[in-house]
Amino acid sequence: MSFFVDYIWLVPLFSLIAFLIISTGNMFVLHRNSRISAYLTLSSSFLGLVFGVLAFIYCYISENIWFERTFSWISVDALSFDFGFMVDNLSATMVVMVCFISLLVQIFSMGYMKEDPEYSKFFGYLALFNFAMCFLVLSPNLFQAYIFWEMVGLCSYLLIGFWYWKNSASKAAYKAFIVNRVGDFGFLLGMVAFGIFTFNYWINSDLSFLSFSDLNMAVFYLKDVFGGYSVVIIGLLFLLASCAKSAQFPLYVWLPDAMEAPTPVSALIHAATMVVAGVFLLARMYPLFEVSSLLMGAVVVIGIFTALLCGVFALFERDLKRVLAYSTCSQLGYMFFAIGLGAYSAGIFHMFTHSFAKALLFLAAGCVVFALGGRQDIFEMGGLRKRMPVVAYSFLAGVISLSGLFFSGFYSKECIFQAVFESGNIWLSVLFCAIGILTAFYLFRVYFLVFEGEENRSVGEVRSIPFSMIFSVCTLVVVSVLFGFLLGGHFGIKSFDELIYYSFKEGYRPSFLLVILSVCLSLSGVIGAYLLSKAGKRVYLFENLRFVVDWFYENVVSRVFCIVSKLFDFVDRYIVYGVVYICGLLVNLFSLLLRSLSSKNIGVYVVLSMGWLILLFIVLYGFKELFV
Amino acid sequence: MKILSLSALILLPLISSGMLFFPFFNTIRKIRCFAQISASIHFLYMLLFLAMYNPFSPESALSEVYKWIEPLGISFSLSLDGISLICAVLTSFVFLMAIVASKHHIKEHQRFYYSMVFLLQAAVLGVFFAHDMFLFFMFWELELIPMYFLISIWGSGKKEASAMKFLLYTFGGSIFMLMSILGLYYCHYVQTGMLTMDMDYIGLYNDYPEIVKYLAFVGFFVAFGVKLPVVPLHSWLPSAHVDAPAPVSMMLAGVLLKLGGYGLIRVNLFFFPDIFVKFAFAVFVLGIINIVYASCVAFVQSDIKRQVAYSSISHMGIFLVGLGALNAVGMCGAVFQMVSHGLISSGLFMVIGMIYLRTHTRDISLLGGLGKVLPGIYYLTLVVVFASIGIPLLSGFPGEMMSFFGAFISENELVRHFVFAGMAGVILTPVYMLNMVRGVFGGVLFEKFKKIERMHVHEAVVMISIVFLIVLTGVYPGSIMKIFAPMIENFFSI
Repeated sequence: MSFFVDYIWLVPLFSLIAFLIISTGNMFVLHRNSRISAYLTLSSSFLGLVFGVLAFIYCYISENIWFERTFSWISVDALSFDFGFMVDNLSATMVVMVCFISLLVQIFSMGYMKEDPEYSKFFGYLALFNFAMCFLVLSPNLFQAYIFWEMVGLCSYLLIGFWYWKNSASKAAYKAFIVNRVGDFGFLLGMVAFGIFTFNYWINSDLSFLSFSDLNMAVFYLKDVFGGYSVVIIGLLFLLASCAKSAQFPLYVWLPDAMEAPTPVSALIHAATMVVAGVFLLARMYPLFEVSSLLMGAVVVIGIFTALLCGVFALFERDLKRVLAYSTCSQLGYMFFAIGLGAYSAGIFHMFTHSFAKALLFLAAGCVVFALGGRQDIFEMGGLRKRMPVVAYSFLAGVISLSGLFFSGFYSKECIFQAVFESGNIWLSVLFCAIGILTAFYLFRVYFLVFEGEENRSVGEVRSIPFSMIFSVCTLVVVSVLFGFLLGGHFGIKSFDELIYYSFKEGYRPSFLLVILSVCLSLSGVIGAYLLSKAGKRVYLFENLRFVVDWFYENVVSRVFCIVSKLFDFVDRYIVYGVVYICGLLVNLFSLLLRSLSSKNIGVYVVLSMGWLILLFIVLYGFKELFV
Repeated sequence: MKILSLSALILLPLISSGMLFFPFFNTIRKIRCFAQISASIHFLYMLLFLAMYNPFSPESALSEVYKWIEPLGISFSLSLDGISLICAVLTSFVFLMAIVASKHHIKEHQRFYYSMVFLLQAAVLGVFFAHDMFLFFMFWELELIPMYFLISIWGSGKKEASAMKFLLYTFGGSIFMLMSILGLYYCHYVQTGMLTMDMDYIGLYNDYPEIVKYLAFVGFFVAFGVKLPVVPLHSWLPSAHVDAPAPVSMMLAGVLLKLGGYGLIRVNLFFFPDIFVKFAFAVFVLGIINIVYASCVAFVQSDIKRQVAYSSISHMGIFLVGLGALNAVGMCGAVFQMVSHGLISSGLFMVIGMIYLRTHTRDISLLGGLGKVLPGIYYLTLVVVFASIGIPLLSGFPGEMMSFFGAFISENELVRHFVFAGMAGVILTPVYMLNMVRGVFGGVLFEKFKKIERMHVHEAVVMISIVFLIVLTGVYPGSIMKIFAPMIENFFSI
């Protein structure tokens, strides 16, 4: 069995090979838009999944495995950047999750993208993404994590801008890339600073540079030598990176716009896998955050604020996919919040349950959009449950799970709830309850508006949904119903916090009262949503409030940048070049002067040349004195 | 038998340059065929050097000395080390690509054009190999003549003015270099009684008076700074690029800018390491100004070729940052950046040439939606643009990374504190680069562009070769690092 752990790098490699075959084939017009590319991608993900599952089983059986293999990629002087892979429970679980959702999304795409002119390119990008994401979660050190951190951002750019001929899509891709780049700046600077400050530590350790496995000691070294201040600064830089990738305030603005991407992409990248990379980074850098209460506080504040803010925005939104996008921001805020509180396992657990549930919701939403021929406004829908019952019930399952009423989401949410109460902070608990109500409220509002109520006349004819799409959705329903239950500590299977924990097993056994309380709160949200949709009222209040942050970026930050750039351009055109131009004019002037010296009288030339010679002599003589 | 001869490497293009005037080459087809074959042979020969070069054994460092002007201590002496080898390989490659790419860009005086290109190649290689200051200077000046003609005859727009600007700027810079060379030559003679231009003697001699060292350092820096270009001395570059034909821009950005970088390393750093330490922070700050200033200016340009020209300046800033770090890591980053920028900028100018041939405009507001009709060009451009942005696993990343790491472990405290400013380039580069991609390839396609030609075979060959090298050096940086890294490590360990 250890074979699968030794060779886990084959998982991303399969996808890379699929990508290379598709892209070269595409370039030489060998199999443009043929089904081959889809099957290639599918089989690569499937093989990856099989490997991942077997590796996971091996990790599950053996206690607390930590397997690392690296080779030197760049090495100059004492500095050596390593490349390789690392398997522990977290990365093995992540690989399984990524491959599984990738596979289902790819199956879904076979139906969804069927008539797209660039069908095989789409699968090529998906394969590239799977490669980058798997390597990201398998990274043994920060440096490699950075490499693939950028690679997944690149894939996200390519896939958001997949329909690049649409102005909105091309703009959204641009925006996503730039905002993510701000985070990358934080990551790069944080990594460089961290690496250099602890450089002496790594030289003496036999582990590779910036390795995750030795982060603990490196952080202690950093704190001892440079003080807690440096820990806070470096931690904030990493937090910036996480905020950009995981769409937290103030860098969440790219995620709602990223819904311009084809729906399978939204499900895979912008809900289930890439956006959780920020949380994954927090988990990997946990030793750094843990030593400073200030940092943990910052994570909590950002998490809870985003969860609340985006929850409210989701309430105002009328675009089906964008509601889900705001909900993703909000749920990622939950995970930040949990990790900031020290509930490491609970945060990660929620990450998994959310990924499955949100992928399910997006794919179900994709079915709706597909069936309605691209319409996404929830007020133009209604009563769709009778038209497509399977999709409706799947969506309902996802909604129930995500709002923590039952199924997987229930388990992970209870864990976080427990942690909040144990922290003893009454304000946090109240806010958490409010977000719980809010989540149930906006999710059920969408469900009631889209699937229940009166049938909307403008819906018209509904396209039939291909089997591949239904298959993916149904499989995800099964997983997102069972996943939490299986890892909730029943039947002698290890519970989630026994499987993935940081320093101690957190062992959440939520008390009965808390469970009742949380379910009641969520139910109140459901009832509120039901009443609202029954009354047929729309929430118009502060509807445009959600664009405040966008407005700030578009009208303040980018304006300032434009003005500065124009100023520099002016300097470049008129001042830098102007000086040169004036030099040219001076030469002209001087030549005018010299020309006026010329005369017919030979005596003038004699005097001039003698004078010049004397001058030269003096200068040269002076030089010699100077040097000898 | 010695099959590796440096003088042959310089003579080969010179001979080709002359042979083109044989009456036999009377059709365009023959001329192009000959030019391509000759450049390919040169490139293959160059690869042989690469294959047989062993950075760890001093014997393999080739050198050739021929007597020339003995009374003045001037000899025709050439030598090869890691940095000059990698630059020379880049030169040979970029020239081959530019010659292949010239097919549709050059419509008249083909014979003269290719002859000038070969002359330029010989001059550039001469600068990289020269081991004698006089020879170095001679080749440095020689390179101006073909370049002047290449811009002023085959260019567009205000081509004569731009060519003149290029010529005067570089010439103005070289006057300072000439003064510095003569100053060193004279001082060396006065102090040791030995008349020599050999780099080993006048370069590695340490007992010059302080003032001479400072003056010579600044003189050399100005000459190389014009070529690189360093920001206040850069205004020749955008206009030269805009008015030159695309293949000439490829050579200009891909190779000629590297002369400045090479000179900074070869002369300023290796001759005056103790002076360089004092100027390190200044070099570093100039680098940061290059990065930030040029990125901002590039963003507001409407001409895409001007944007790419400014991006060149910005990327050369990273080179300066690495150089200012003054340690092996930063230096390796700087040299890597030089090589990768040679590939990236020639790729970008190639793309702009292809677009210009088809649309006859370079104004970003008049372009749009080309991705739909030119998918092949679009995807290859994306790779080059991402390399330019510094996405990992493409060639732009290792250079950038090592430069910043190097700056962070610099011994100069000020340098360490301002690295973050240089990293602003990480955010700024995609702002203008992706804006350009979006403007040219994204959005709605104009009616008049619906029936433009697809990518030609020779264009595909050029782009794919460039992209292949970009990916290769990005995925496995060690492939080129091992050529120059040992030498740099060696230099800094002394």
